[in-house]
Amino acid sequence: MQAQLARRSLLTALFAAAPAQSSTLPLPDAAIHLLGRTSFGLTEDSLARVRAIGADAYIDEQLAPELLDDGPVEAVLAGLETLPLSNAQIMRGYAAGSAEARRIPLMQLRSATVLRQLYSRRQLLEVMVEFWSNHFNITHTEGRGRYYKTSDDRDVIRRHALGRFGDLLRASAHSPAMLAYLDNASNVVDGPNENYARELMELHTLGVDGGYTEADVKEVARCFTGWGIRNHEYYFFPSRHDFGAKQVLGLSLPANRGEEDGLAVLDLLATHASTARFIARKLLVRFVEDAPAAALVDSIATVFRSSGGDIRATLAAILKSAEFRASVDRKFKRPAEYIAASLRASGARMNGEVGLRIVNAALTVQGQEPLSWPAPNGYPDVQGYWLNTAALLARWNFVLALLQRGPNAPLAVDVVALRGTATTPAALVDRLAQRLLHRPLTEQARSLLIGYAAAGGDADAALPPRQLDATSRELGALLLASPYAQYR
Amino acid sequence: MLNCESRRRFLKLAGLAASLPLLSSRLVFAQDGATARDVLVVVFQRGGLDGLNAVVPAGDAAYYDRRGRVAIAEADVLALSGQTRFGLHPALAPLLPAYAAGELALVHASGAPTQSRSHFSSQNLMERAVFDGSGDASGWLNRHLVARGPAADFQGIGFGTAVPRSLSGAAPVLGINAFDDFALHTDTARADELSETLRLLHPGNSGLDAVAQTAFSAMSELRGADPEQFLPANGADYPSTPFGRRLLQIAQLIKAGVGLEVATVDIGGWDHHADELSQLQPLLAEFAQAVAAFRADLGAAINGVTLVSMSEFGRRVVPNASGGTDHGTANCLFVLGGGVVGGTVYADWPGLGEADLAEGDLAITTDYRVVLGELLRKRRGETALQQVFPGYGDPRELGLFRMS
Repeated sequence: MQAQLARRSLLTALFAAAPAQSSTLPLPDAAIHLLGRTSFGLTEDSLARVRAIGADAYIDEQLAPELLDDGPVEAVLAGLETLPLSNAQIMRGYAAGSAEARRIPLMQLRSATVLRQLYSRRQLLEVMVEFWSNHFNITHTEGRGRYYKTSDDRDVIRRHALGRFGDLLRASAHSPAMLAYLDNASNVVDGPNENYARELMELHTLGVDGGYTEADVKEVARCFTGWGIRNHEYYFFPSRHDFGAKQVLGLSLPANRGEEDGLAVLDLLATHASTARFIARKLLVRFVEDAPAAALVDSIATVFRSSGGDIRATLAAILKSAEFRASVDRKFKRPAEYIAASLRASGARMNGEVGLRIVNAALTVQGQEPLSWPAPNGYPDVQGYWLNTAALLARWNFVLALLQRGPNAPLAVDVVALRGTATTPAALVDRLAQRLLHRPLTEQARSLLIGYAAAGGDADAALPPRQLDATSRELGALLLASPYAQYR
Repeated sequence: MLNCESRRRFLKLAGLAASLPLLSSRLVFAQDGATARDVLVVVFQRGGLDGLNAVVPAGDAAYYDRRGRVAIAEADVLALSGQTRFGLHPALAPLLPAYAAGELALVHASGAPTQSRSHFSSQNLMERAVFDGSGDASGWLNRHLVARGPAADFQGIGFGTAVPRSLSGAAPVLGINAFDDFALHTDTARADELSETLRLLHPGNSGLDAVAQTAFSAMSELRGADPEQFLPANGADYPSTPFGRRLLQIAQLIKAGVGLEVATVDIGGWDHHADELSQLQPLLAEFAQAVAAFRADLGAAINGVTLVSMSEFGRRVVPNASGGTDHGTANCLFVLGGGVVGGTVYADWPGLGEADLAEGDLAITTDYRVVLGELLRKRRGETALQQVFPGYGDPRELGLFRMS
């Protein structure tokens, strides 16, 4: 009865107060914050690097990934033979093969995506690849996407992820994967297909409130008639094009032009003021907070526009802003970031393909299978979407399993290395919190964990060896499951 | 389903291996005894269902004139008793018994009053159901739960990896992906202490802590209720797809009597801009098979359940040259339950002639809130409809539901 009453009052309290946006935990320092936002989780190496050269130099270094040696991860990726292939080669070599062969390009690209996020030193590049993969989302598992996405990932997203937005937009428009996914490849004069035209303006450039009309959607669809795919590459089919005059966003396009119509639309959209605001806001949602202030959006949009859509310059302005530094704990990790950060912080070793399969299965259970969001808008990046009971349970179970596995498991954490020389409950909690979270705990949380580790014994007495191992694993899981590990 | 291994751990963790309490004999549909409230199941068909090819106006000659090669052939359309204008897509055959029994109604030319043809704006608006320009970000189902007042942990559940907008807001709700995932899995001998420590690491200072506390309390209730003891009954044959599995689990929770009031579940993939006919068939078949299984499984309990489906918009009347249809406006809702005045198609049919269309689309003649408002009032005892649908004051009802 007492318990029931207590639960009632808890529920009433929950009704009264809307969930707070961010935590009230003691905050991590600036270097930890920077790494949380610009990588898939910090490692001892990346932290040492920021501490050595300072935040601004680290940002500049990450914005020039071509200068960072990524030999070890490249060596692993060299074993994924479909990554460098053209669409035609993949279609010839795999699409026509057995059911097993047909899955290879998709599985390899998915593996490469996860491996790079986990192990690449070019972490900010990987963050931006993930960002643009969602911005220009192509559901990997759908239709020809399973074959064409390999070249889209390589030649569109990766090539331009830190380049100029206009180049990225044009590359995407010409990408066979996008032409197929949003049906521009079947957009013809006698019955235009509006799918690409609409998403191009709503999702890729202007934003839904960016000032276009239904008439603009129809006119932009006409502009792109004739864009298509031949021999698995972009091709313009004049016979399918609508050669009439068009009006797009107040701009008159004269009759009798061919693919120039579509190119003119892309230029118009890439440099439009609404696009600058839309991209600026979305980058701020990724790097700063779920609801960035209008003034901040305007100032970053100005940088974007005045730099000619230079993604590096825009990112540098965001990451070196006071608002960025002040936004600690205001972003809730999505599953991919949570899983990767848990593995990176714990120094988990992946022993072969089974380890990768475990990671992929966790991403699927938690709802963020790489490149697989089922609609053109890409995975959301706000706490309101990702925080719910199922999500937390899946996270807790992932780290419980991760820390439970023995040293020779497919995905293994070396708890001996993790705990170092700590042997007492108090020292264990401090050492593991330092290595796994890199941020201070409240006194209550620290006492709670020490109490768990001591199990009724002395907080400052060494644990016997067998208990030491089990306790380290359980403490590690508790720390990674705690609220301290849920923000990026 | 729990496999043996995970079930063993599940039971071990629960400390219940010795004796399973059978709470389930009490089939509870109303928790407070004052008002009988249906369990409401809301199915969202994401991507834009083509209502014209699902509930086909085959009796309207303009349908065949305009739909051309993306029409459902007249010979294939399933006849509905009492209907001269409408029939069903053949893949919806599993729903015919519910229609014949008067437990399925179709509401055509309906939808949300938005001019947007964006998937994301339209879904967002439809799920918030706020059209008066105010910024309330919560969803209509959550506001309904707020008006209803605090209830069981299981009052509102979003099935899937995320809770949809319609169910988001101030009232605490659960997200459940699958029962097997809704428990802590650990082999440690100190499982109970570990679980309690993790709970105490969430002292209630943030939205995250609140969700965690709800998870712990719901986990323990779910262990006690053991909904998976309720196997599909009456020959119910759920498709083995995420949608089918989730409807099965909703039925199990209903039978377990845990206080479920509102559940949401999605079935996606309806955005058929190309090759619509070949893609629509299997999706409609999955939808119909799952809903028919859900009804069969519940048996007499269907009298305390209402299921309603919706989709962000319908599709353009005239197809494109890709054998598909672009984004349109009005659509068709499916409404199923023991309290439904079914066996009919509710439609103030606007027609498909050139002059009848709204910018090339089937016009909306029945605001979806007409349906939902009557549902909430008659089957859920809602007396604060202005709170659930702010700015909406249409007193019209279709006579679609009996008073519960």
